[in-house]
Amino acid sequence: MNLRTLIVDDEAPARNRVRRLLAAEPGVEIAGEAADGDAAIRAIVELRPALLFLDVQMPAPNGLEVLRAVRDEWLPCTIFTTAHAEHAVAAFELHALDYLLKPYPPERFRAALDRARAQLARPAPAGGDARVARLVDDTRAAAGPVERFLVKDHERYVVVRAADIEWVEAAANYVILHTAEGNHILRRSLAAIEAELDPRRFFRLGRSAIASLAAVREVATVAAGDYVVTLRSGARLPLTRGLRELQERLQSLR
Amino acid sequence: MPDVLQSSSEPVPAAGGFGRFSPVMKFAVLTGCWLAVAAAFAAQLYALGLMPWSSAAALALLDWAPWIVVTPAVLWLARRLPIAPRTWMRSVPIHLLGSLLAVVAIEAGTRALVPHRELLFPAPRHQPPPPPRALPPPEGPFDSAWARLLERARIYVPVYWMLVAGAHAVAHQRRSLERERRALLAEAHLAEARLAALQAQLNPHFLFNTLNTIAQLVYDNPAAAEATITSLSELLRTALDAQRHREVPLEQELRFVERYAAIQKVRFSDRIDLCLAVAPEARRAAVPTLLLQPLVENAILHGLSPGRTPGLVFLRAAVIGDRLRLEIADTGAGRDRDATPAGGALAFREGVGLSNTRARLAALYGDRQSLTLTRAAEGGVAVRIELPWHLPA
Repeated sequence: MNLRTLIVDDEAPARNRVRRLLAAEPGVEIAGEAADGDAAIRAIVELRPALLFLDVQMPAPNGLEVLRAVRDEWLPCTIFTTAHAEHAVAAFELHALDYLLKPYPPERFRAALDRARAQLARPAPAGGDARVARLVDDTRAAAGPVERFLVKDHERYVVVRAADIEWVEAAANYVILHTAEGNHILRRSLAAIEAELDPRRFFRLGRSAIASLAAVREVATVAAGDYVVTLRSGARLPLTRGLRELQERLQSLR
Repeated sequence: MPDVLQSSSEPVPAAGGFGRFSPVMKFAVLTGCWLAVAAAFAAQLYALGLMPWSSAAALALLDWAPWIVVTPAVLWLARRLPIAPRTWMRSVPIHLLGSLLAVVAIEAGTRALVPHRELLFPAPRHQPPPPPRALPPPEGPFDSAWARLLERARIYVPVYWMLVAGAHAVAHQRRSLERERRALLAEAHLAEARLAALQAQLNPHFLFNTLNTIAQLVYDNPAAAEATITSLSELLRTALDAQRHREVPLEQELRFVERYAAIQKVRFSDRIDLCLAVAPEARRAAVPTLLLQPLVENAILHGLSPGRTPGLVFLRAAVIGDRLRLEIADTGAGRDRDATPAGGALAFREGVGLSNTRARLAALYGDRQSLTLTRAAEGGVAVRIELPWHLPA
């Protein structure tokens, strides 16, 4: 069975180099290429490659953010490529993940590929490579808030940027991400998504809603102690806690 | 570093005492000093056998303790009216007046407190009391007052001037320490800025990614590989030479940036292009070495187009009056877009590159330079730098 491989790098010559070195290897099929992080996220979930060559340093989303976005869908066995032994390298070593320092010699490339084959020969959990999953989980705290959510919409995947979210609605085991372009359903608890969103830009209004502070148009009293937050889109949401904090946060927004 | 520059522009007190201590501490030290002086005088009077120790102490205290109150006023006046080449015409007469005032004030004050100072002098023990007829003729109140004032002035005026001199010495010492500190800071700052510029130039990501690009071009396009190697060599050479010159003609910076952009163009497969618009009279102007490259690097990364039409980076230079204006703008490619209109000020966190550039410009040109960020008419970010127009040394 051929090894389905995805190449991600924002530089075409760098992608071509991986492609050329792979061409000399038997049993490797290049499933696709991606030139930026967003394209990489879509390609990973749509193509489900077994092996991923991933450039760490890309304009947002970078390599680690790509893996974070696809964490719950599919994590291929990953060989990281980077031009500089930056701090991420320590995390790769910790999780026994392979990385190539550009420009790498062909022998080094082949050795990494051989190790990847050995890794892939072992049975893997349903979500993909467990080492990559541990890397993502370990670097989650250091990586800051999530900027992109991967949402499955019927047969396709949509990348929803946190910046585009107006508010998040809780619905049983799901949350609904409300954006100007439409709504997206994500299987996650409101508390879980609250932890992922940037606390400086989002505010929990009560038990069932989180609003983007930038989307708030007004806060009004409807009855003694009852407040309603109106968003730019016109959505009206009850505010059941933290009126004073909300006021302070809105005032501190520029 | 900007805060350092700001603090260095604060006026340094012209003269002054021990600035590090609290007022209470200062007063305590002052009191201690004058009590020590009084004790020394008392000991002398006592040792000469002129009087018992209690009288000696009382007399010395009466003569010197008033200075505890007067000294802060003298130091304050010395600080306000330093005797310097430009100010002595005004300050010396005032200090003369001040010294006389101190004499009169102390005399009047002690006189009010202890009307009969003479009573403190007891009759010498080993001498018989002088016969009544030997008493000096009674002095007129006018005579004795003048005599006492003169006697005091003989001692107190020099003391006053010693205090003024002391205040000047301390102030001078502090000023020269401050000057030394500032000079060291400025030097360290410049070295740091140079190092930062060099590191920005030899950004390892840029260097190794370019080498990786060449490793592929060798197979795909040998001519392009050759061109990239020569461009990279030229960049490295200039960057290593940059240590030697603080400023270079803009012309030279432009050549450097063009080579840099050529490499980036190869790396990013023509998704970016650099457009120069430089007025002829601007080409000769002096600019800090490696000023433009970090800014162009930023603009390229922000201006990279995800699509087929290349993103553009504009570099404009013009001479306006006696100032050189440089502007680097990008088309933005949709990143960092917000509602700021063209020309509007941008408020986002500045990266290390930009703050290094700011620090360097400030170190070189003080407040005769400016760096502003606005929303470019082209959609991305525009960095505008203004410098005094001058030719390189």
